[in-house]
Amino acid sequence: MAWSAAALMAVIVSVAIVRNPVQVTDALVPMLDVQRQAPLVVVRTALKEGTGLSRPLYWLQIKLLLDASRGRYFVAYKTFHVLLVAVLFFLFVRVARVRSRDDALAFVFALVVLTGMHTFLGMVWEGYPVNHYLEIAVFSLSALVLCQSRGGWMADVGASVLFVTAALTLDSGLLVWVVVISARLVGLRGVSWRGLAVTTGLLAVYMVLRFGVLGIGVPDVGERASGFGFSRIEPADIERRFVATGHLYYFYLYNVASAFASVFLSEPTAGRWILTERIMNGELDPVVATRVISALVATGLIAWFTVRRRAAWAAWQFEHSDQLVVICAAVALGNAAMCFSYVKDEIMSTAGVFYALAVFGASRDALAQWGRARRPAAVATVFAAVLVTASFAWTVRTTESQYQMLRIGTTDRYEWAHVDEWLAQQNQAPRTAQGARLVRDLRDEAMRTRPLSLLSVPRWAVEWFNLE
Amino acid sequence: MTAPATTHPPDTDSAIGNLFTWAVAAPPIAWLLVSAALVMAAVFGYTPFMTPAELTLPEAAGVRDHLEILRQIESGVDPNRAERVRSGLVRPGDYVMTPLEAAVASGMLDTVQFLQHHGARVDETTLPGLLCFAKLQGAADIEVYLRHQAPAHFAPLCEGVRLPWND
Repeated sequence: MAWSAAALMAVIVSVAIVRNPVQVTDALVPMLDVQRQAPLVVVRTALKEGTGLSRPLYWLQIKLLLDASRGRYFVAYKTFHVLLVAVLFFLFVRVARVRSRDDALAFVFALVVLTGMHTFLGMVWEGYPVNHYLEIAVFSLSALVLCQSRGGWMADVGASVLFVTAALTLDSGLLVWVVVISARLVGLRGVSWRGLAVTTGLLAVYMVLRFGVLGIGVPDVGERASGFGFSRIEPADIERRFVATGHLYYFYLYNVASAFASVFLSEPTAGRWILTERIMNGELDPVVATRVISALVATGLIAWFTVRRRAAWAAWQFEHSDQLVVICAAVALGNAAMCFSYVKDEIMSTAGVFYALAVFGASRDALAQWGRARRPAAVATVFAAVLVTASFAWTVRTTESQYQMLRIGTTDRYEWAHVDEWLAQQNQAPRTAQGARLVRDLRDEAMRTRPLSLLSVPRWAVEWFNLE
Repeated sequence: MTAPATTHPPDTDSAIGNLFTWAVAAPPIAWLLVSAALVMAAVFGYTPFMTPAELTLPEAAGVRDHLEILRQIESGVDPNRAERVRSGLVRPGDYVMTPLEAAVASGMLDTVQFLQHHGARVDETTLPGLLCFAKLQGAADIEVYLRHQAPAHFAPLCEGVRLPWND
């Protein structure tokens, strides 16, 4: 059942992806940038971006897919995106290790937690034109598969290769190292101590190259707006309130704490405590109720599991569900640390995937324990009502993800209709005939997509989906 | 490389245990089945939440699909020709209207501007109808925009002007 459910979910998500055109913002300019360059030049340019970001393999992928597409850009980029989605769901089932009927039923619940998480949307909705956040989640799950294996030199080499590939694809690729070390500490021996030492050595080399030799550094806080409290603050405000007053580390701490909390509480969203604000304003509408109930019950299951297993953990005894929960905490912490300069839901997407795995482990254990305990019928009914409500809430959130993915297709099409004005505003209008042809071909491909008709979605349904 | 075995809880066989497991799994399973049915229906051409495959130009204007407007105009469709707008796209009931009228009906100023930019006529022949229709629809921003397009001292009388609807 787990494989069928995951395969079906992968198909449903993929259908939404291929209905949408390749987007204009964040996708077209990178494609125009790499179009004229040779692959090696693309890598060299990426290392000198000067943005505090390091992602040469991301740029190389865009270039290689563009060249391999032979003019069928939509097919090339969307095929790659859908393949990544398929691999993500495959690995999700693989690391969950579903062995029984109860496992399978708990897994189906975890599946809607995965796809209903607010971090999931950015991982599958956007193509930049390659969604590197999705890649990092795939690399991290692959690392966990290696850690769960029987080991051997192939697992050690695999872990190192995964780490290098992930780290050079996106800054948050360092999470592969977090997965490997936390998995080893909780008793997963697929990657040996020697393999771990090599991966740690590679991390050290990465740091030396990034901060020393290449001088890439980290993103400047003054480059992006970021959520703070109930509002969004612009770079100038960040400069005035934190940099000029010498309190920048408070801002960093806020960002890391917010990012970590967002995984377990579904709040804040990109650093903004929107749910809390709406609750304080007495706006208890469906979307608020759905978010609150879903997060409280799922995280409550993890908390209950942690308390129940604390003695075993203190004795350093970890079973499979324990491992999933502890690794989730480590990945969430590592992922949150990467959000120190600004919080973005997409950056936390890998933590979101591991959160769903932790929910799987905790709910599997809870169902087994509660099923065996003798309780009065009334108490059992209340428990069952809470579980079904939470499961329904996560299912609504999954529907919300689907709705948002299709809605954005309408926005993407709108942007393609105005692409020339947009490129001119960004001072990125193509300067070559080749570039102009790329824009025209992509626009023609976008014309062949079919959007969701928002008119067909009842107004009451939208109230369940739109938080802002 | 096969994963090593770990201890694993057995399936529950009590009524309470079954109640809990199915309580957790029932909503997602129902959702997956409905979604699978919708995907299968789409394979056979039934797509209830999608915009109809073939839109007329006024319909595209009515649903603010600028890319479809552009596609049709580039392929030679007259941006001033009145055509059918199916029930539910701008309001219940079938109507025949021009793309500009459909844009006014849906209250989208940017669509009015987009159509005008791509050849739809906003002149003395069309302005009275459009202005009166914008007023009827309560589309104040469109009304202001259209008044700026009109010559000085242009004061249309709405009585007797043919509109797609009058209520």
